Amino acid sequence: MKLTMRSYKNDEDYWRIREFLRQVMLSNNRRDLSWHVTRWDYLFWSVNPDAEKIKFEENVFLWETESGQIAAVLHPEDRGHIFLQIHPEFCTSALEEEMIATAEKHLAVIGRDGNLKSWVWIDSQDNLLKEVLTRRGFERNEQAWPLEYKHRRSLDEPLPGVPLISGYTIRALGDGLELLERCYAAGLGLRQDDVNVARKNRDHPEWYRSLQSAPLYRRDLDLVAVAEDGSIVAFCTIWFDDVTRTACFEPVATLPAHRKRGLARAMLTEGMHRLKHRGCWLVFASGLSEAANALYFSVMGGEHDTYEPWEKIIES
Amino acid sequence: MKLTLRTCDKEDDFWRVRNFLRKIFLLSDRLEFSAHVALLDHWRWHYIETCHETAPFDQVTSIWETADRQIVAALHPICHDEICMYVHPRFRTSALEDEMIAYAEEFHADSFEGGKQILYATVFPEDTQRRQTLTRCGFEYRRARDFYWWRDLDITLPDMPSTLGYEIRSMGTEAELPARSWCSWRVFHAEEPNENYDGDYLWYKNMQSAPLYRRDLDIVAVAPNGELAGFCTISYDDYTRSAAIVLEGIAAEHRGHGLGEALTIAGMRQLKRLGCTRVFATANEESTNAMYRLVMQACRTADHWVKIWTPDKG
Repeated sequence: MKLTMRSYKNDEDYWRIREFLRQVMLSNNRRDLSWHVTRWDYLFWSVNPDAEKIKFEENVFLWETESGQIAAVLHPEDRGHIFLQIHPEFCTSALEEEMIATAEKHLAVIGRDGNLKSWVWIDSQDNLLKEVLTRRGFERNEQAWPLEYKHRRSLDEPLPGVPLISGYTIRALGDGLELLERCYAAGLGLRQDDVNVARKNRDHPEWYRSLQSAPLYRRDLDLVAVAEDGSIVAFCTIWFDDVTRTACFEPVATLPAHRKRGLARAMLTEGMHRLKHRGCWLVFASGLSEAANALYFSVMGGEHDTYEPWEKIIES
Repeated sequence: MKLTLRTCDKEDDFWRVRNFLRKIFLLSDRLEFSAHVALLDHWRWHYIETCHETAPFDQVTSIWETADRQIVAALHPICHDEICMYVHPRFRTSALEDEMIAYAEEFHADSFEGGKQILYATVFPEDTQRRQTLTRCGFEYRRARDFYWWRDLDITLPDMPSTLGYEIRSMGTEAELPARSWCSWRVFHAEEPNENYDGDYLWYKNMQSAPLYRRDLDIVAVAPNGELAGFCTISYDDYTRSAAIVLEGIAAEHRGHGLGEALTIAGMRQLKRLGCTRVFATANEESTNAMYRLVMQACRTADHWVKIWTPDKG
């Protein structure tokens, strides 16, 4: 079938890509072989406006059928880190070849070593794409970036009880000034107690308000762990897609001073109970660090897929 | 095409019906010829869970499927004597609708005076096929109308009216549930003595469990004395980029201050920020219709059709 490539045009494409990602996920029997719709939302409403500031019109590409149906999407997450979303019905090595060539041409960035590079993140079982990447001179560089584990857990089975942790309360994010507290905690939890980032987060909370405008944001699934003094010491934002009945945990973090007390486990477990009550039957979480993956293996079990980055020096 | 009728007896069926409604909603140019998915949710999480208007979903919902398990029609009662029918436009035939009505008469009719049975359906006047089906099945037109309002959000929204002394904001945390429940009582039971209020506010947790509930779209008006004066609860479906106002009301003692209008416009503004492009509301009281006339863009009316019959004793 003849597919036509074009650049992302406007917000209408954002909404169409959301629908496409849902279709792909359902076509893949809800395996996390493409992006979950909420990761796309998170990029659009949080990562990009706050940090990356990537112009979608110049960096996102769509392949469409003659009738305008989306068959594939190519896009970065961080600059230079590229993802391919392909509907299984349209997946061919010719299409993948074209997508990789487009990535090399438009999405490469200057790396820390001064070389022009691309990193393409692929499912580690996708041998067809590995062949294409190898043919085009990409290599799996295990030193540069760790694997991304994509954990999943069915909520069909009985869930463990939510552990009670003395001195802490697990609940949904509150109102008013607690938003600022949550922003501050994000800086400490995700940036290893970096007070400067925490202050900046709190002084400019617009980034969090933008996140709360995402289509699937729900305050009752934005969980926090609160210490006795009222400070937020851990958080776990959950995104439930009622079309696919699947959800994602993102982000999850505990402030360094409050780690090793089971707070993240308690929040994830509370989150799974809330999700199950709302009709969700499969939940995902992505982990890059050893600590994150240990937590997710422990709470979510052993089911997972992995993403691995393939690197190419386009120009040195 | 051969269709199979069966009862939705699994939880997954409910979620399939939801996605079926979304599909036919999009095929109908996003006009409510069927029902907005939020109204199906509201039926389940409020009419059933709280009001017990019908038996649970899995006991009263039926679907017609193709051989490859594609849903082409669904039927359920919405209260004790009224039914909702959803049919995929491509599969719509008189034979299928006859079968659905016959099924509804057998399983969803309510008892009426003198040992008779009664069944209602709501039909848009332009839906000739449905009217013919109902006429053929012995239903009669009743002079009662529901108003289906909508507004596109890509056109300029009305200005917020002044609501002197009242604050318009999102619903608060769990601590506000008792106040929200009391406000509902003053909206829907204003004629009853306050002593009749049982103080149970946990029903509101059912509302908040619905898949599309968002607290930032549960808008409330707060009176100068701090009590909740009114509410406008909206469900936003990001799949169809449309929303439905599922509950709206102003407590009797706070009416006449433009609060309904203010709540609705505040909700529309928030919806627009979330990417919603169309909002719906349904009303059957003149005061509510008067308010929606100010803030909505267009309206269609639906008629009630009713059948009252003596069951065949044979």
